[in-house]
Amino acid sequence: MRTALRVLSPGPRRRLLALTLAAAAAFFLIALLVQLGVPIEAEWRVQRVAQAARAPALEAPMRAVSLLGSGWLLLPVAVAGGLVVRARHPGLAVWLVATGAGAGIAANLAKLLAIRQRPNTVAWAYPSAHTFGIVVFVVLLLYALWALGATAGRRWPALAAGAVLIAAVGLSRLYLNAHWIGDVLGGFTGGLAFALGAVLILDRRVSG
Amino acid sequence: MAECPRCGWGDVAADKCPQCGVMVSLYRASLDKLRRGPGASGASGASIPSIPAGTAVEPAARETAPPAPSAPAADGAGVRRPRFRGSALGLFGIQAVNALLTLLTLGVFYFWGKTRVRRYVLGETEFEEDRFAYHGTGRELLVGFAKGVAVFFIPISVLAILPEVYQAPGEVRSSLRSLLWLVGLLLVPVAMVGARRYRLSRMSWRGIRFSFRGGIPQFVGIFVVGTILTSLTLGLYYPVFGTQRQAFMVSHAYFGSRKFDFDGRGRDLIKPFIVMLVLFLPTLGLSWFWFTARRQRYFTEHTRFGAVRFRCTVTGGPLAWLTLSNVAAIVLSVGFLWPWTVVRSLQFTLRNTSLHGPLDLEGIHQDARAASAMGEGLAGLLDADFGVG
Repeated sequence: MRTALRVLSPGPRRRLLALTLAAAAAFFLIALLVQLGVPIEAEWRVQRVAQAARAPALEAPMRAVSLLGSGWLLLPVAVAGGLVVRARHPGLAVWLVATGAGAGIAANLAKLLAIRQRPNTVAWAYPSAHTFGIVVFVVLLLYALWALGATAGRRWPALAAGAVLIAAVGLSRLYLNAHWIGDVLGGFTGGLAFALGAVLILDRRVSG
Repeated sequence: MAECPRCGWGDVAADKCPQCGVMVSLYRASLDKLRRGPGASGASGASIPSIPAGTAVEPAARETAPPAPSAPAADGAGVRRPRFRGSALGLFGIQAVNALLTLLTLGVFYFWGKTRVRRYVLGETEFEEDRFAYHGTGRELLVGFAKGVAVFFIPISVLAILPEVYQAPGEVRSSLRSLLWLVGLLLVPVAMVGARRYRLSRMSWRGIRFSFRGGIPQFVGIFVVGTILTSLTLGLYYPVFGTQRQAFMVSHAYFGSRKFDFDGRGRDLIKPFIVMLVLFLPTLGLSWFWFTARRQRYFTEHTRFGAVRFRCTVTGGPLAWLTLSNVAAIVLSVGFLWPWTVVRSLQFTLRNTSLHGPLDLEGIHQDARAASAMGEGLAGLLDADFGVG
């Protein structure tokens, strides 16, 4: 049986729009700054700290955490989640999976904005697609829980777990020398802008 | 007094470089960590460990690199090959963004776009499991271009236009034309050296910068004499002239503190050049590709870096196919396939290039040289890339 979705009221909708625009502005600003090399000294410092923390015992756990932000894992999980949601709201399920796939494309297209090397000298540093992906995943998950009527008692632990997950994936990218801190912040702000933008569209189209 | 590992400034009293502002100890530690990878230990310093032929190298710490040493990049015979890891699609995307932003900024972004392409191309070029890096900026190119316009283009344009406007006597006009031709003749080598100096100074591998230390007067001499002799000999001096230019460009190039060497002699290419000329019409010009491949092999095989010799296996047929198909692709696609032609040309060149012998990097240290982008701007003004990197 199809569940009626919760809809954003005008006040929260405006606040969400403002947050989306702020995140998008931050994403483009960071892209500009990293392209100009402005924060490179600070990025070297963070990279030094992250690399100093490297230890053989941490390698495998960090790789596992990093994998949580990979599209190869997130997309199948999103599809599986879509199948679960489909019973409650087929339209929402399709949109969630489509948004997840769109996030993968957007994260890779966004890499054309700032051309620079990662700390391990491999290309396509900005933004971190893993961070971008996990942020989109967490935000969409929280939205789905809220829209399908989950209680605050369920939503708050999900929010806390999501925040920990995002931080862990971001840190793992620094630890594995795969990204600079600017790339991770770019992935965070870009993912947030994309996900919140998607939520605003979903809120209008799916619930309407 | 220490030397800055980033910009080569030799007078760093405190930890912070007065030239580029980098924190020296921090920068050194990061470079060192990058080279060593996780779990390894070693002394800090901006020199590179020796890599005997056929043994393991120490690549930058990468996501997939475990603390154990990596697999040898060179085969048993000590042969090393650079590789290009980029894709035409990636370059196409970069070019698309460049075109859009150049239009939106009425052309100003052009210099940043050029930098983005160089950054991508060098960043995707790998040697011994480590990528090259490009450190130039769009701002440098813009300033270099503006200086080139102000110092050379405007005065020359004024000298060319004023006599026409004021209806100067014929003798004055012809004298000015000769003078301008002479200035142009001098300007080209100045631009070539400037562009070479700028580009190499902005390239690095494993954190160590390349540089070019050739003097402009010496190259102007080679260029002017070579141009005149080539004209006087109806082109027969061209191979000698080309080899002298190559010798100058290669033997004044450095990686860190170690120089490249070139031991080619121009006369070795005269016979192939004459054969090319004789066969030019019967082969409908295809003999040019055969000569170009021969010259490329000769130039490459007479280049050395310490005990390492370069080898090249380019032949006329594949080179002709590459060049003609690239031109056809660009024309038929109205330029859209340009990234594809760039990538396949790079892959072709690198596939046919190898390094032989022990790559002794012991003792190489950072020895970067300052270079302005004015020569680069001038080269851009003259629309001449000169093929010198």
